[in-house]
Amino acid sequence: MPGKMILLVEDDPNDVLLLQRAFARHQLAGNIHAVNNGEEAIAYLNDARRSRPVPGVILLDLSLPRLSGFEVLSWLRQQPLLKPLPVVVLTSSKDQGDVDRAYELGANSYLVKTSNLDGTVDVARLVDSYWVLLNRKPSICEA
Amino acid sequence: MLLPRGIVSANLLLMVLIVLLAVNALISYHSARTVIANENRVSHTYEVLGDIEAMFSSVKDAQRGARGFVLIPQEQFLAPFDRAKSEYLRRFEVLRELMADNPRQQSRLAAFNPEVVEYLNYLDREVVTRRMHGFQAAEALIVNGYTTDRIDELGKMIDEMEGEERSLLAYRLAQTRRSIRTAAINFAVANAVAIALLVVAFILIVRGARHRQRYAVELEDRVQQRTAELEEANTALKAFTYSVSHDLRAPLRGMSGLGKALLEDYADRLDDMGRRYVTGIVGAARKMDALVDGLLLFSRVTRTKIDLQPVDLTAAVHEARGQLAADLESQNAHISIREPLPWVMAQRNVLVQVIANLVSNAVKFRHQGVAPQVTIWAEKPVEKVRLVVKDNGIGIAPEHQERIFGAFERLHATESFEGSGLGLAIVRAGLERMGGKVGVNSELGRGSEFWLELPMAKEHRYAG
Repeated sequence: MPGKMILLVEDDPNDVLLLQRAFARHQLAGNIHAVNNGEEAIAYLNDARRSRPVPGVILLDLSLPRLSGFEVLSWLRQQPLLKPLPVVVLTSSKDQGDVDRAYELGANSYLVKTSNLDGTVDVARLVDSYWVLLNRKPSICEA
Repeated sequence: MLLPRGIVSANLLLMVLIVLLAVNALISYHSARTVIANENRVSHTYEVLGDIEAMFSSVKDAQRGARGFVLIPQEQFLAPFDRAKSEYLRRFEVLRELMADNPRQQSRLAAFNPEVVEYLNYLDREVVTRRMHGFQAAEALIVNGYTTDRIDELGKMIDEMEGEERSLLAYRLAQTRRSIRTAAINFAVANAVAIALLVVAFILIVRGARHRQRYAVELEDRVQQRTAELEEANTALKAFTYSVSHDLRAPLRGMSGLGKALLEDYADRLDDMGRRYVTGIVGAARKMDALVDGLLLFSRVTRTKIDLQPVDLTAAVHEARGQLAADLESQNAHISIREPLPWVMAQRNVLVQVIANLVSNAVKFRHQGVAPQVTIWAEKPVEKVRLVVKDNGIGIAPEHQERIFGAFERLHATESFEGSGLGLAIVRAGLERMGGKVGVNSELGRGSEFWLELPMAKEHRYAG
């Protein structure tokens, strides 16, 4: 379904697993595609529109191997077609410097991972209901 | 500290210079006195010479006066004769005094005087003879009386005396010239040496100043280097804590999340023992997470840049209570704040953290089954504000009251009271960074009164 695809950029397989579990167990609308690092994220987005669905929202971790979340974000905002894609930063960093920098680079939201399972489920539900269902997407997502 | 050698020797040199100038002044004074004394002796000699001349003239004047009367025997012509006689006596007395320092001249004068007295008596006789016996008798007395040899004799004696004085004069003039020359040489040498020393001292001081300047530049370089090193270390530490907060916590999140998921999703396939094991894993991960949280907080409090500003304690206490709201509610705690609280000099976020830790402790260490009662108020010793957080908890034995402020100090097993063991260490570190103090009054079983002290904010004095 167009626009309901979520690109999850996350290197920690446990986090990927727990988020996928939350979406599956609570029958959320979003459809998660996970990539393990920044390079893979850019590769996916470069292929998007041609062979793969364009995500309705990108869930972006900041500390990633090879290319950091910040680098992926600033790359994305320079792409003529892809730059309007909504990006939700999902990270363990509460550092105010990170928060400010993410917004300066064009993040649409900044969420902090919680260490308990219920918190993860809450995040999954909120992202699904707000960013996947309620939020209107830019036209590129419908293509 | 390295003192430039030039400065030491310059100081020594200046001291020598002062001594030299003093000696110079002394010698100059002495030379001047010698010159003046010699000048006085020279003028004394001139005076003596003048007096000898005048004394001899008075004798000649007496002769001329007496002979004048012989020629024209009028009484008024005797006045010069009498004047010359008394003039001779006066001059003689003056000379005797002037020659008191010279025995040779004195004896000459002593030999000279009777001759003159005798001659003056003879002149008297001429006058008397002229008056009594007329011109002829007086003329006979003149012709047969004193020969010119005797007058010449007197002249010779005068010449001797004058000769003596003249040779004295020559000697004294030479001496004066010598003393003036000596004084001039003294002046010149002493001043030349003083100027030379001054120049050397000046050079040494200038060199010392240059040396010090180099030293100051060197010091500044060293300080800059240290600062750079510190900044580097600080950056490294920052990177480390950042890495800890991300990388160290990710596995913990995985452990507790997956454990919980296992408990929820496979509940029907786990027996009691299996559930207990998984619960243990989840609990351990959570404790580790709390520890990492505490460490990050501790490092932030000890590392953060402190900028003291006036802070409203009332607002800070409310904010701390707000942060703990969920915890306080679940523990059914009652917090009473005696408002208004004064303003203090502090860093707001650190102060809130410190108060939150104290309130959290006050609620945490409670008697089983007793609702926590916490009272917060302020006292105001001079220039300081003391905030007291009093609880009705389990209290602290006196022997433990100092230990509890150390990092990782715990008095209780983690099963009874959860925590990182860093709460009070953060309180103490935070207060020390802000120039404050923390302490506790407590009795085992009777609750505790934790207090913190901070400087009062000057522009917001406590009105209450």
